[in-house]
Amino acid sequence: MSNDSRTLSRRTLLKLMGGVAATGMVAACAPAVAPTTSGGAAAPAQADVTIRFWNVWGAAREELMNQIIARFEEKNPGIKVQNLVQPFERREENLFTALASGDPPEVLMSSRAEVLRFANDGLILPIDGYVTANNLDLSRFYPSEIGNFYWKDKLYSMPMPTGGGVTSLTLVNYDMLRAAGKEDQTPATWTELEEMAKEFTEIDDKGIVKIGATVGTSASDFFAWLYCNGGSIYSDDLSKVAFDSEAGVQTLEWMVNFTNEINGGVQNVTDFFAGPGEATEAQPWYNDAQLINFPNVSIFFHMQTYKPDMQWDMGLRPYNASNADAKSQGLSGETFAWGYVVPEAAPEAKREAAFKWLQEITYEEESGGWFVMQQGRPSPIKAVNEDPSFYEVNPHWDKVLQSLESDVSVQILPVHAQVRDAVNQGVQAAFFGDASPADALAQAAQQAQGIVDDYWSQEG
Amino acid sequence: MTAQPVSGERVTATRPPRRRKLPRWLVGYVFIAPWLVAFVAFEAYPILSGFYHSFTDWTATGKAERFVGLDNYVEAFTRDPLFWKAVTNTIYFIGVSVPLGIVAAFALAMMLNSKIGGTTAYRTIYYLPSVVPAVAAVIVWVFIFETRRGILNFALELLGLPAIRWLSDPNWAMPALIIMSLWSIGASMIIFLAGLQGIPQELYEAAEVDGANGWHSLWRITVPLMTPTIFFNLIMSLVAAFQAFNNAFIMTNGGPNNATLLYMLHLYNNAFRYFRMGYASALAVVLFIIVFGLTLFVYRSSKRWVYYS
Repeated sequence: MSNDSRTLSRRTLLKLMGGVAATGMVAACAPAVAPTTSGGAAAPAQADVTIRFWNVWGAAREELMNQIIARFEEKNPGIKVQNLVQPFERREENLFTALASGDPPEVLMSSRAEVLRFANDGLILPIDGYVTANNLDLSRFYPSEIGNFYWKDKLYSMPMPTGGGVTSLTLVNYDMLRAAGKEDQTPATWTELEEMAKEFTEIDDKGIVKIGATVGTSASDFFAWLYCNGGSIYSDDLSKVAFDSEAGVQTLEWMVNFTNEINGGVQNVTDFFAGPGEATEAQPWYNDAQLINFPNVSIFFHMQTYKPDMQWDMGLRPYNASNADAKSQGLSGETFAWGYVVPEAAPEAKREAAFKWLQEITYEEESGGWFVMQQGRPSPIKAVNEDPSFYEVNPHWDKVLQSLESDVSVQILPVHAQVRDAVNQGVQAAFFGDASPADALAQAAQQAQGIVDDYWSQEG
Repeated sequence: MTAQPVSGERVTATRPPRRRKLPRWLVGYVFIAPWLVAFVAFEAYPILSGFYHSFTDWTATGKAERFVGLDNYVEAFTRDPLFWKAVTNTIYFIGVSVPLGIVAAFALAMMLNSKIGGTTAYRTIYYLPSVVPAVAAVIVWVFIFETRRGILNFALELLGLPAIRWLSDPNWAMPALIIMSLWSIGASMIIFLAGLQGIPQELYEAAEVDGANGWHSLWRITVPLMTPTIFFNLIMSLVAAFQAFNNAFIMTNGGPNNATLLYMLHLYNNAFRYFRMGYASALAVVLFIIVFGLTLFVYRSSKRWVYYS
């Protein structure tokens, strides 16, 4: 074979490159294929604006969301919404990457801490202008719910579902009480909780067989109990951490003692709840193996699915009756408060439509309100919760509303995820006996205060 | 119809235009251009960018970044309480899982290289876990490690041993992760298998004639001739072990009490949970230096123990 036969002429090469480039351009210009929504909702033949909507409403909720989208598209023929459900595990990573890419979806579901972070960094649009232009009445939301989405006096999102009702609920399995020949009762104080838990917890050589109650082992659990003992996470002006107060130390000591003395230690508790996530029928709560549960409001939906015939009642989270300043209250917005944001990078031509969709799933009773109602969980809109049909699926609905009223909207900083992890280190150290609760909290407070100070120094 | 030249007019021969040839080296580059472009855009640029950002407080969220000099590195080594925990955990993980994985993959390859029936089926079975998605595998392993109903504890019970709290006891969570890492030794095993099949059979026959038993053949023939493959697998396993993330992220999320907080998990938390991309970049650079240094060390040492002839 001659040497020449193995070389390309410049002309041939240019032809090849031209062909490849042309193919690439054609491919790049081809319209993106819209993912099929499982609801099979008929899309308008010609949509002027397409809104990509990232959310984590998977499983049965995806179908509900598709129904809302279908109705919305019917009302707004020029707008098409793509329901893009994201895997929950790597949600933060996807969200961050999308925002950093400069081409994020037009509407993103974000936690409250994320909303504050994005707002602080100028990544999302304030929506006050749209709210005013559309004459929206924000007083229809519970103050603690809408209040979660302000940052530096600007509103960045509207809530759906509730951020509250997360830490103040206490559910009791009456089937277990009755099977044991006990009277129906719901614990109101720490002491009552201890007594009931002791009575129902069964432990063998492999760990817990049945559990009366667990007070939890994470920073979020600590925060929930802290507020039922008159404590708080931060000072009012958010310049200092306050969880290491006397109330904080007392709270953590109580949690550690409860776990060690009643449940046989933190490892027993971890083992007992190991396995698939909270929302599965294998969980002890759905199998008469857990007497008292401190869930969030999504439990009502899961109970309808996994154990609709369960006899149960509920109350507010027990408080420390030996502390005169303490009362039952829940935290709104510390962890699970969800809002929807429009990124700053959203094209100008799509922003109006994006806000319209944001409004639909949060503000409109027949959409966002309907969505939570179908799940038997409360809405951040007061009027929705007054619908008598809630009582048909949840006979204790008045107590759910009472818990929402008892919620406190916790002011947090954009660096709260870091602060919470620092607290988590302390809480874990105390549970595993690496440090006393007082020392563990003192160390966590020192670290957390460093994070808070760094934040404020950068803010100037 | 072509015009004829008028008589007496000077006829000049028109040569066809010369087709210029491209140098061969350039043609080669043109053909690797797609890879080269992708490498520069998606590998080289991010790596260099990571180096740069490790000296800043970059958040990647659009907020103006500031040059902070070596502060991120100083924080990692002196102020971050989890940095050394993550380093220690990772060394523990690598120190046990890499040798164990290589020995297990080598032993498995030896077994599958023997003349027994159904070896193709066995090879497929042992390789299969390598292609199972990590999330699915982790869910299966969570069941295997369950204290009360897990099959691992069931097996221990049959042997008269006490149950182990695999995922809730800080002393046992890392061994659990290491055991789980053996799940994906299929890829190394296939490479070992290819290496074993490249050893000339005559060497074993000659050794047998000289009176060598199986043990002698293993240590005098198989292992020395497999050292290039062992070297390759060692480097690949080291790099993979430093980057181990999925199992710790999904199964334990670093717990209990930070017992399985691997370096990559710590890096991930800083990057994607706290949006501290500058600091996470510094952690990535530190990791790069460690991996590079260790690889260089293994490479240098290979002159003493790897036989290519």
